[in-house]
Amino acid sequence: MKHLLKQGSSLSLLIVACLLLSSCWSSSPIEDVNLEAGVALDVAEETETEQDLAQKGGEYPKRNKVSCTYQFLIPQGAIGSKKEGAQSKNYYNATQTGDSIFEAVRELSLRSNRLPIGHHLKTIVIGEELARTTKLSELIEFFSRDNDIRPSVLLFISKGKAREVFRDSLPGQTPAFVLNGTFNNRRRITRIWEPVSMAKVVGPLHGHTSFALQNVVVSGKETKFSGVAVIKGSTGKLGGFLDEAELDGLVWLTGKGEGGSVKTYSSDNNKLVTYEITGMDSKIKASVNGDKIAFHVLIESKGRIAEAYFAGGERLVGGTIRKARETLEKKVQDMVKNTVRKMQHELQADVAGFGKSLQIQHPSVWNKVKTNWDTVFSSVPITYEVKLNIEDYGASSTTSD
Amino acid sequence: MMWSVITGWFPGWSVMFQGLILLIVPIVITLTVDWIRTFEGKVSKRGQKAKAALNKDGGATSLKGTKGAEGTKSNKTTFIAGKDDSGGSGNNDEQENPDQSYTGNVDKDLRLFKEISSDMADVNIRELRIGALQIKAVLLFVDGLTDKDSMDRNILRPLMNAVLPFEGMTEAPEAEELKRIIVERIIHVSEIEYTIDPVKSLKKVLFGSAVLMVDGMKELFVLGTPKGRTRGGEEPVSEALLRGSRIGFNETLSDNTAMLRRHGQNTELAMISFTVGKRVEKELVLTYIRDIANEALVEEIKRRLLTIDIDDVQESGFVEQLIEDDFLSPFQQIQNTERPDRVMAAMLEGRAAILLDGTPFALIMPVTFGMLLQSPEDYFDRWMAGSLLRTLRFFAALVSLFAPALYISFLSFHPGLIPTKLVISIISSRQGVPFPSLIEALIMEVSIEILREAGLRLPKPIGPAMGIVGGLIIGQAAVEAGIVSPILVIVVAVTAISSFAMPMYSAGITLRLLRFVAMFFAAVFGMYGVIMFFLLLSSHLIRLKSFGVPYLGLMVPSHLRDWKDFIIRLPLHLLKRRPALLKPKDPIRKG
Repeated sequence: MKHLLKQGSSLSLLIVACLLLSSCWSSSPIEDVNLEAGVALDVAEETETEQDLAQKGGEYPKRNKVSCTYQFLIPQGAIGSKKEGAQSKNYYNATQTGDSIFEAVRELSLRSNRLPIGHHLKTIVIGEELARTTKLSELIEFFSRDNDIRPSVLLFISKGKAREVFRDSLPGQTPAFVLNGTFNNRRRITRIWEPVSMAKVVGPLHGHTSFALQNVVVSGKETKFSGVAVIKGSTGKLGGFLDEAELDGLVWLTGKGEGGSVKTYSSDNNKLVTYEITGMDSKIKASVNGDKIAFHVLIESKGRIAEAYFAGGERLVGGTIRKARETLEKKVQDMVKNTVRKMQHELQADVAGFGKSLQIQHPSVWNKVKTNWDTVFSSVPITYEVKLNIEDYGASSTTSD
Repeated sequence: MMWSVITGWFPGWSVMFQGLILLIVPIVITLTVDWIRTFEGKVSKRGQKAKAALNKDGGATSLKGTKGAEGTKSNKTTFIAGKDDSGGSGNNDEQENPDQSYTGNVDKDLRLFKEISSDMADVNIRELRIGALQIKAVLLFVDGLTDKDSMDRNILRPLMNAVLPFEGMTEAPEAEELKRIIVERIIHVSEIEYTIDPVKSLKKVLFGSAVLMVDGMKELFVLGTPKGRTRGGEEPVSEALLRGSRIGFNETLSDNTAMLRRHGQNTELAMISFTVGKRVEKELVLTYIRDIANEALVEEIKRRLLTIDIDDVQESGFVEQLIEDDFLSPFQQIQNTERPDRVMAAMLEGRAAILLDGTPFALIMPVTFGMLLQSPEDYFDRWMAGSLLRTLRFFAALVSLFAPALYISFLSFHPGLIPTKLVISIISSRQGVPFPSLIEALIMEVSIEILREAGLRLPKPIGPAMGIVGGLIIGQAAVEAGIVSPILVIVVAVTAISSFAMPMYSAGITLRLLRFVAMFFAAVFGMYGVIMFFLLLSSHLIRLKSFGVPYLGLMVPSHLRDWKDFIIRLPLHLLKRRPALLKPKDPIRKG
């Protein structure tokens, strides 16, 4: 009996020891983490804080190449309704300049008691200047390799300084989340490019094909989506921008829009007609004749009349509507042509997926031209066909007056 | 050179240590469990007891057919065997025994009756002599179903005192004459029927009538004696239903057996009486449906009942613990219930039940996992509602088991698995909470368990008030004092409510116990620990057996047909078979 008791007690001791030894392996209490919400990458330019710290000796050996600005969340508000200072910000930004992006974020650990974690990183904004001089693949290398950071992080380019995008926001908002949330408005406007996540970028970067990233500009507390930045496949760097109107054309060209408007002035009486898009689709048909490649773009859309300023209270039937439709179709075609002209002649980059169509429809031809597709693309003839289908006129079937 | 290449591939000490732990821990667990088992075996001497009991010729000392069944034990087995050979699956005794009818000879008839009622210990046989002529007669009735008082007054006394009606007779009159005399002049009972069919007479006896067998008469008197006393079929407190019978077992064994008999007419409901307890003897009834329950199961239960060696069996919980398969398992392998309808339903599936005198809790065995989450209501409501409630209960069981563990592991290990907006509000709610999530969760879980335990003992009028004080005020105050986060209060509340969604109170306790283990696993290893715990639990459950029936039998797809009545319950007309898992004698329920 004694023997058994001894055995039992030693066993329980072992179990307790195991439990104590293990304690809480690799646990990090959630209140002690610093959630990264966004990162802004700029060409090296130390902030005042950094300069001040460096003067006091807070520095490490490095070459100043990139300034990483991390946006950290300050959790507050939602539940603790009694907490004072509703106006206080939900976030703070910390900038670290250096050469290694990873080292920079680790250096930031010296400036906070909380552990920075990247699980909830949503946004990476890259400044224009940096994007023009550094390969995008190098810039996102750390973020795509890190285990914590999701490949669904969205990429943006900012005309100007990227860190400015994160600097300020309307009360209660977090700039990094505002950027992501803006994509929800794609149903309302065609001047938003599709959200491009890190996962989607890796392929084109490896395949040296061009693609577009949403451009964002900032003024005061507000950010605005403004056209797209074109990353050229040949260089992997920023090649140029398409402005809002050209983005409109790009969206029509690719059929990626979910909704929006087209505005035009009717040719005969110069009155405004606005068309609301409820659906769009485009087909790019590649045709190869010998060595000659040509594309035909068929754009189809359905929608309704949102505004019609024709005089005389005309009913929106027959000729009136046909005329309106034709002007609108022409307008769309003009926008698309304008965009393609810019892509072909100024940027020399195909971001509308012509190459993809060719690859699918004529793989053998594609294999011949794919190495310098952007150059080939700039001289390819493209024809257009736009079909709008006005399905209804809203609540009123007549024009305005 | 080559040697250094080879050693280069050897893992380092830390990896070696981990491998060693992985190897040793399961071995240690296995050895410990084995050791505990052998220790228990040595101390309780269960095995020897069982052998000894079996050697004593079916354990005649404790297996005692009380009253009516006495002396027919040797016949019984042959009778059952013979019936099985000839009978097939139906219970149509009338067709089976056309030659068996009463002869008019009391001794013979009584033997015949005893044969067909062989496994029914609650059938009482009262032999008497009628009146002055001392005509042999037997009164058959079921204890608890007949009003003994009025039977004594209106049947027994007039019969035994009958002198006047037989005035001038020296010999028993003709059958017709005797019948007339008895009916018209002796018995004070309004309802009288006659039968010569043994099966019908048994049915009548089992349904509460007293049957009188008189020497020289082929016909038996079926005397409608009103139902006797019952200590109210009060609604079971632990298993309340919205829909379904409101009756629950009480403390009187005969009442309880009567409730089962009362469920409906059925001649195949066997009730075998045992006496348990050395110092304080108590009656225990093993009941099953003869043509459904698997013979081997019944034999095994009998064998285990014979191994019970204790001075007093205070409650059926004693029986449960003494005959269960694995006393180291946190899961109950025998279900207890206060509901007769539940017992009947289980028996109709091919299970057996044990009733013990002095407790309203009957035991149902074998148990499969699904039973713990099923309620009789599932069958009473329409199938969609029943299925919904069942699915809900499975979900509630999961929540009750894992919610705090998931809370701990998400908060301490995997902030990335929580949606961003939620993680922000969790962090903000946890600002200033001084404890790690494990301690925080333990504080709340332990206090709610204390509250629940205390709530049981509180006097009824204060109970709800204390619940409010405990639940609402302490919870609210704890949040405001910054000891726990509001999210945790939600988690704990949901967990507590979920554990009450278990239709079986004891199953709820098991989950409560395991929840704490899961919490520690989560605190040490995070999600990995929770998953390991789940696997550990699964591997335990998969080898757990209740009376030879796999506990998780329904989960493994070897009996896909049984899935019709598992997580969802299909319409009744599709449930044509009894659970194949139980290997019932008659696998077809209907159709």
